[in-house]
Amino acid sequence: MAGIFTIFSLAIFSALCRQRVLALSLAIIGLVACMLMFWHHATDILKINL
Amino acid sequence: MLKWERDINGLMIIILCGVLLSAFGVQFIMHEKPCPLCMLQRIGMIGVATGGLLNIWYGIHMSHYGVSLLSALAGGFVALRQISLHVCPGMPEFGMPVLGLSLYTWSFVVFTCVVLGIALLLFMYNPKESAEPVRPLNLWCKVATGLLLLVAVANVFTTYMQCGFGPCQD
Repeated sequence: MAGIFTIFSLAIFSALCRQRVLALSLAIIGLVACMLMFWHHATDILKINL
Repeated sequence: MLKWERDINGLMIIILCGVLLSAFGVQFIMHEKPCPLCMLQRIGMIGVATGGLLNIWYGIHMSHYGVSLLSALAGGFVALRQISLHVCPGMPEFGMPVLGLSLYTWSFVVFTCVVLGIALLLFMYNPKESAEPVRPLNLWCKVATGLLLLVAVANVFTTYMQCGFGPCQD
């Protein structure tokens, strides 16, 4: 989970370093990772069938 | 970009950072560890604020609002999922309620307000005037930028201390 926060921190840092495309890409990668993590928690830990 | 568009994006970032800092308050003052779903909602809020930050620094672009909207939808979905886990009568709430509502319910309210706010901003979007950034940044936007970076890095450390870089245990 800290890895996803790291990706977003890097996205913010790249925005400050004038790397707009890199920042956008990292934000989208972070979002995809967030949804994959949600899928993992919803199916494995909460023991439900989606 | 018009100045008021930039300032509204700055205000949105500061409000979201305030929400995240209050979550830190609950975590460290009330000693309530965040659950995995709570952390995913925090990620959603940081994602929304990242879209706003890109708007401040590079002018208004549809892709920036896209990042904010997708993050708000993802975070709202996670919040709704957590509400549905505790919605049945007799099921205990997770965490301490604030003003009668649980933190995850407030989180859903925040994400809904973000989606409505961005929809209103998109109604007023003018491609000719909005695409160019306003320079130099005022104090308001500099504070929003610094606060967001601080909150994001603080979340990296606190989450790493709690459960490392992998998935957190429920």
